Amino acid sequence: MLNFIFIRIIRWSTGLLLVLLVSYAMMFYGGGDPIKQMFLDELGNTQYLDQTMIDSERDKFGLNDPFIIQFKRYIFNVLQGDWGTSFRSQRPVLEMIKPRLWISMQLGFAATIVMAILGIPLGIIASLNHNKWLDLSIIGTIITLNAIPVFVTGPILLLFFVLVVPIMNVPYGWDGILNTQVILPIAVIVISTIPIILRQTRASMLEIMNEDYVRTARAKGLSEKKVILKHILKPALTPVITSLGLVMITLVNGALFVELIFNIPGFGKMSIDAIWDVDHPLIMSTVLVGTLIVMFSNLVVDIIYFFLDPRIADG
Amino acid sequence: MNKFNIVFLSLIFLSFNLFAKSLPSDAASSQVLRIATSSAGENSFIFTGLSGGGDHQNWQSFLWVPPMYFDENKKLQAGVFSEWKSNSEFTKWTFTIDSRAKFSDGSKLTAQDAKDTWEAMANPDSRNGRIVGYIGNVKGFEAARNKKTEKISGIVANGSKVVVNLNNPDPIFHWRISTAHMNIVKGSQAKKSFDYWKPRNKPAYSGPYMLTKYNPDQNTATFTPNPNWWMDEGPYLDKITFQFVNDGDTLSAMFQNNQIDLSMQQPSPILKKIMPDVFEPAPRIGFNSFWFNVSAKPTDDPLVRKALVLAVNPFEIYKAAFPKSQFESLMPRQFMDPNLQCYDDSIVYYNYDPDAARAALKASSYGGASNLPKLRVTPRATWPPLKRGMEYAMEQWRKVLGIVNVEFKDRPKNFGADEKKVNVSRDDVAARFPDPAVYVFKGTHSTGPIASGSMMRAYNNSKIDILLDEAMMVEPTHPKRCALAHEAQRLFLNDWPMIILGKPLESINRRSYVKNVFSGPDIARHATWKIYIAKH
Repeated sequence: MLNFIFIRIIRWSTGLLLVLLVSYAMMFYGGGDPIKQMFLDELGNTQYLDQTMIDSERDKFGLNDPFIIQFKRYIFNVLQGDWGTSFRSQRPVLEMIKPRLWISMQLGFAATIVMAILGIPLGIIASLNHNKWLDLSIIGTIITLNAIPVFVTGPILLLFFVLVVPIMNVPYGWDGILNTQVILPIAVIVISTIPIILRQTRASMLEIMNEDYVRTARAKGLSEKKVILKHILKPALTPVITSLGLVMITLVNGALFVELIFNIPGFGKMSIDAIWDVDHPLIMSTVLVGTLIVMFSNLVVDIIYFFLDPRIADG
Repeated sequence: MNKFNIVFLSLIFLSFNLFAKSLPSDAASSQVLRIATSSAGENSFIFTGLSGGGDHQNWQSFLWVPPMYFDENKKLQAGVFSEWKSNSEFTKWTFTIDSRAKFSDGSKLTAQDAKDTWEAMANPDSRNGRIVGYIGNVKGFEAARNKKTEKISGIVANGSKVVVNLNNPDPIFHWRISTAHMNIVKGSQAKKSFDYWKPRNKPAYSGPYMLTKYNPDQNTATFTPNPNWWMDEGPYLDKITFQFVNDGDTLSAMFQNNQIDLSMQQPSPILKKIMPDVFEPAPRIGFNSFWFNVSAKPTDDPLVRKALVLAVNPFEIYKAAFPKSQFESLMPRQFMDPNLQCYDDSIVYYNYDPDAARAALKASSYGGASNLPKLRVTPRATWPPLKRGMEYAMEQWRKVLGIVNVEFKDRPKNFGADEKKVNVSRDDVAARFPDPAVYVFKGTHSTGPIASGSMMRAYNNSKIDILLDEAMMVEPTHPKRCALAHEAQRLFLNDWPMIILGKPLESINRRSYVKNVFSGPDIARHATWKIYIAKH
């Protein structure tokens, strides 16, 4: 097990370095001038660009150095725990990322749990009623909801619950996960992602239901409940866990539209602002954190596989 | 009750009446103003008084009283400076600080604070791009800007007087500094750290309110009244809360649900229909135009420019860019902005004339569309109205003139090596005070940012330069200043320099019960101590 984890970490370190190198190169050669960008208004007007000021800022952030010098300095600083200072807000990047990432993680985890609680049972019900009206109703509803993009679902639900059936205020900002104002954002996220889990569960269940060993289990006289829970559901959940992991990675990395609509100061919104502002240290840090999240989540999923599917452990 | 007690109680009663703010008769019992802010992005959610511009410029005047300011009627009003005068050559200006002016920590606001603040603004680390336009003409400014010294030798603090010595005469120097961008903060704090404004550094404010809570991670802030407020009126509000709201639909819902009272961000167009009373135009000076590069072929030929201008229907390009359903806007018919003093609305740059356009192209050195080199055009932004305007112009050039060899890119840099050959690009002439001479100078003088910069790339009309050089030496209220500016505009428009796009109106969005929200030409709110919440 430890050997397995160690090999993965070594492999991923190389991948991480490559991701950072490519990101830095893309930013350096194609991202535009971050300092100029800082002083443009929203329409790109240039009248207040003062060369003295621009030169001073470029000098301060070492932007006149060649690519390789800048990249080496970045890696060296990151290894020492210095993730840089945001060009735009002049705050340490790590200080900016921590609270936002924590918010996105809470939101992502909460949404994933709700999604699993709703999606997996619905998927099981649909598979057990394969091609019956209940199956078709569940799948039809979910696909219809899934077809509506988040940036439509979000405002519609918001307007409906705030203005049409006025049962709440606009839930803007963030007051912690244990606050009622997260209900609507989580609902919007779940509506958009639940079909992935539901359909995955249903498909896995249907596939495994036709396996020989399931027939054998039934032939041995096991109760239907035992057959479903022990012999079908357990192996069927392996790909579902993979999907859950992938969805959670996406959510933690930022449920962008939900963050925008509900003014949740999360990681996704910060990433977009960083790209918009061509804020190099912030962009690199979001890439770094995003990559680490993906790697860590994959590791967690791999470890869960160990327990769900003994064949992987044997392998 | 003895005599002493009666006198004592009377004094207490008197002091209550003297110091208690007397709310207007229609004021509501709760005086909390809830503001949504956003336009320049999350990373601009800052409240420094030194950097000028940015989203926060809308709210600067809550925290600091400007030196002077233009009110909503474009009249100059005293602020921290109660008097101002110049010598007869307009090279030396003396400003007197209001004897009542003080900071929230109780200390007097001094001439040294003004000097220190402006020196801090001149330091490029302050990121104040506008400062050159405000005090760039002051002796010693260049050295401070280039960090050769921290002091600006031309600014002298002399008791309650600030004496400013200029390199060149400027009859409107006092207008230049009449803006919330030039607010005077506590000098010793500003020079110590550019982070001075954050509550943890205990900043002192000269304005009616203080920034008492600031959370850049949650994008929230709170202002509370300044206990040492020094003017006679206000402040009336008990608290001002700020919330960064990114999405227009969310903002609209918040307005409708009574969660927000005031915002500068545009809510969704639908809200305009549902709550038309929320929108109130603000008198911003400047509007977007498409400028011709006079150094690149084929727009170096005035007749080509004339053809391109006359082929575009000014009413249609305006409608294409700013449809009524989405924008409150104006359609300027000349280069000057309607908010400038002595604006003459009878002047019309041109009328749509396709026949004259075709004739001009035929008479040009190219003889017709088939001989015309490629036209490169850019709106220099991805904002849809600008793109729509440019697309309409391109379509008109095709239909009227048969010009199809046109290359469109969002931004000039996307043309790569051909960036300097871009023929048409978009910008506005921004000014923060209503002086026509300065406005026309910025757009037309050979040394101005539009004529000499990347818009027109070396436009030069010596007659215009002579007129404007003369105008800049005339007192701002003298009729000759206006006359010279108008003549310069006339000559400029004769050179077919631009296509006018239109002027979307900057809008204050506020509920009708929020009273006394005034905007000046620098876009900032002014006289913020007068704002209160009426009964509703």
